[in-house]
Amino acid sequence: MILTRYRIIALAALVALSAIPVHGAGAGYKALRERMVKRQIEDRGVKNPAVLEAMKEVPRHLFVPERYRSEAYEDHPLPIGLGQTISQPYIVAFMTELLQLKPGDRVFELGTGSGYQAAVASRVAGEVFTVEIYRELAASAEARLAGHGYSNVTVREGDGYFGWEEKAPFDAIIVTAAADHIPPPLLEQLRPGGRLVIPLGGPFSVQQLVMVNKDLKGRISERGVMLVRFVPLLGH
Amino acid sequence: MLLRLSVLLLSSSVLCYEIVIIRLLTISHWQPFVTLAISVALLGFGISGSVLVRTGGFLFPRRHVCYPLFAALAALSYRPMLAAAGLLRLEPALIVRDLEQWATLALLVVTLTLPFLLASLALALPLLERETVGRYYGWNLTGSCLGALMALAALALLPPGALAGVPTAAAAAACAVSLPHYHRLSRPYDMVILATAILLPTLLIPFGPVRYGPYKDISYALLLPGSRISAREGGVTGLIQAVQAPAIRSAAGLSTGYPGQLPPQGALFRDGDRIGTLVLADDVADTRLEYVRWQTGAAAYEMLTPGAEVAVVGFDGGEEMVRSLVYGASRVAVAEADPVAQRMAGSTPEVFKEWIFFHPGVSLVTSNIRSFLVSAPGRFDAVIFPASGNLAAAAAGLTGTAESYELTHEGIGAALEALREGGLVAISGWNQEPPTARLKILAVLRDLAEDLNESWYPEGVAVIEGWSTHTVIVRRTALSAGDLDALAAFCRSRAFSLVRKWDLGDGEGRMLGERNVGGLEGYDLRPPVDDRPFPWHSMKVSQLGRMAGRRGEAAFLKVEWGFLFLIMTLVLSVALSLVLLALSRPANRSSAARWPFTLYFSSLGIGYMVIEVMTIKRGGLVLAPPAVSAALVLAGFLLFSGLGSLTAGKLHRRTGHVPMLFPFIPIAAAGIYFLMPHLVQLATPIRVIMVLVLLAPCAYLMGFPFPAALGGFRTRRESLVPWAWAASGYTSVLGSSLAGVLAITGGLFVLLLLGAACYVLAAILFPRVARE
Repeated sequence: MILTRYRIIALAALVALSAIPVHGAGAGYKALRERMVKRQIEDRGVKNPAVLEAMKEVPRHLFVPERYRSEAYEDHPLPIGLGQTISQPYIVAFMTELLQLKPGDRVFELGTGSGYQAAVASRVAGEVFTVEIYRELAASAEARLAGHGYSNVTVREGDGYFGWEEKAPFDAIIVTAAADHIPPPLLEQLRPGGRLVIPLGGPFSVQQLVMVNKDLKGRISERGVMLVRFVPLLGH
Repeated sequence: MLLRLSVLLLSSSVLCYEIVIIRLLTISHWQPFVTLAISVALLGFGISGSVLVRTGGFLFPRRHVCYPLFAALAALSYRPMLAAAGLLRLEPALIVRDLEQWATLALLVVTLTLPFLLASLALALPLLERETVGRYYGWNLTGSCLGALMALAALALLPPGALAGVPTAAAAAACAVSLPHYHRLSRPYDMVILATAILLPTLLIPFGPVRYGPYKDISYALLLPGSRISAREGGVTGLIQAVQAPAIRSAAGLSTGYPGQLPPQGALFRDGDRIGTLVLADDVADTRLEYVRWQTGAAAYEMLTPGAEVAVVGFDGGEEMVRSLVYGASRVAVAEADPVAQRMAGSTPEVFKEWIFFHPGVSLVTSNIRSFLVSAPGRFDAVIFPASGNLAAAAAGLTGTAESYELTHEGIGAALEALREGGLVAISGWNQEPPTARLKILAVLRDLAEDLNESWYPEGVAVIEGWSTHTVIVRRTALSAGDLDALAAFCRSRAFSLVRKWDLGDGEGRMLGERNVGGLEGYDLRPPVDDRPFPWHSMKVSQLGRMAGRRGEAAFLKVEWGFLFLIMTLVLSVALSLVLLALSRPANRSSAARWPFTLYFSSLGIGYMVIEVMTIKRGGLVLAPPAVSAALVLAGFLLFSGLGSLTAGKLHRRTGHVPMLFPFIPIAAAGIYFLMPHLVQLATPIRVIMVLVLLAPCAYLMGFPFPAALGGFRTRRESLVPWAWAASGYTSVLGSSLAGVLAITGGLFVLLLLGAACYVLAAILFPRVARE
């Protein structure tokens, strides 16, 4: 009998505790973000102050599904549904740094996903145009980005393989899924002097993150930057 | 007689179920991962022995109830457990860092184990009857053979969703047939009613299509807007499907210099894994087909003259055929082991374009690749190994544990022999990091030139590297200045690298072109040979250990997933087998008397499995496709072992010399190992017969030791026989995992040696065991 009473009291206490609003959750995330930037990004060699600032500013936990929020600032990618992922924080920062973005730059992103990469790029560049093939992901990313004030990001549902001709040329292009080749339309839409970053390789295998430069005469040069493992770019 | 028939049916249902779940789980998960789950699930055989060790005294006198009950429960469990396994959302890619995935894996193993446990509980009971042990064991093995053949027929005739109905029906029939034996039930329709009563509840589970896992290639393709399955053809080797969607565009390793567009394309999948690209252009004049000239694989054609005769190894959906035709080849012979591909290509001209597949110069030959090459000496200007979807998976290490006899020392040698004078071999692949597959191929070429006593290495070899793919080209003469100029111009215009220098020396000083590819001490770079046919495997166990010691995503970036799963299977098998064996030791025996007994049956468990695995892998060299060859070899092995067991007891009683035959097992196994590769030149029907003839003596003799020993027990059968069943069951699982690891790390000859050692040990221990 006494045992049952204790059980009821304990249960009531648990219910009461769960009802208390978690004050300072935002502040907690901010601290997690700063630690993430310091330990996962800065310590691994990302130096661009604008990129670091953007990574500190953009609330990554809002770009992951509710059930993964507690892992949002951990050092790995997370699933966002439809077999897609939000990339590891370091990869987002590293790819953004590779693009050498400046205020006023126009950026094209192939593969919006959750919208996190676009949000980070938008804090460094002028305008970001991003295309997502999944209607569901495109709609949720658009709502999320608009809802959190990323007014310089434009999301479109569609096949990013062809770029975004009406908005071209772009100063920088970022492909956030593994491909077996660089889509020729993207190279066409890259402004002379522009940069393109893409993971190239077999699906699910280790891919080479390739940096493509188009010089002022329109000549293309490429170099491998690091090994990555992205989910496949649809259709490849 | 009816009980023997029941044992036959129940055994057939177990093996059929095993093959069916391997097939179904391969559709929903990655294949190497499936091997892990099934291997561990087979511990059900050992667990049944453990259960009988403790409860045999209770169950055996009640076998008239227990046998039909366990058989019925097995029948009832097959489909529900398979459905439950399908519901478990396992993501193998997360298994290295997510504890939840381990819990799901454990649940999956338990789910898969239960039917095996129930069926083997039933099967073990008749073995407790002293006079008939050899016969029942023989019927058990013969039934397993029947199960393998049943599975083959089911895979050929039924859709995947209906496959599990076959073992369910066999087990229900086994239950029904056993009743007259135990209960003198004489009316046949009583048995029919009983079997129907067992089957009815299982029909409540719908026979729906098998769900693909979220990370399967086809799952991605089917999510594309406007995607549809445009062709489908099933068979023993798998379900091949063509998917079309406007967004499907593939051009592996396409040069950044390509100025044009891609033609409409589709994608081809086998059991959900991508195997190639369909080219949907309407004729060869379509300018969008020019893209095939801008991939690394095109380099070989730059060195050929128009009108060349080309052999393509493996069906990749048509892209390589298109390349051959675009470059003006007069004859293209595509060798493909899987007959389903050819059937499909012939039945859907709107998907498999007529101008490609019915081109007068094109022929799609269904054949074992090695047999195709050795029967075509001096016939081709080029033998092309395209970079297919299989290689993509291989680059991820998913098929690192799969054997391929095409890219071994002997396989590439056969391709070189199939060339006309001045011909070339081109081998394309997806890039790996580090580039181990390329280094292994180069090492094969070096060894081949040495073996042939020819001087074309390295002057006759060039490597063309792009960002995603590479192509190794070899000519049996030094490359001419014209060749090199053509290659240099090709690479310059496409921004590819032409690599002519490499260093394959041991240690860390390896170079590939200008690039130092040192730090390879953790990788296995031995050239693949028929004895170790794993061209895509390069990871050593020590390297896996180092990775496990590091933390974070980066540590697993280069992991070879197939090998990782194989090692996990072995570790789990060893751990579970030892723990369960220790827990189920009979309490009434002194350990001094028990160890030879345990060692005897353990050596049989391991020995049988390693020789069987060695034979299956050897069979893969001469028969094709691999799934058919494995099933045929397995069925043959079980049939002849069954016959051996059926005659063992009688022979032992009459002569008393059965143990003297044990040493002939290693000799017969050596016959399989050394003679089977020589069958490759024979015609297919003769090859099949000869494979069976070669394995028959070995398998027949391997059927002797288990019943010969069990038949001799005079006392304590209720504890000794289950203990033997348990020891042999656990060590069979361990043996199959060990065989997988040893084949890849040591080679098939090591399996032969281990198997031989096991049977020699059994021969030595037999007198002590027989005294029990």
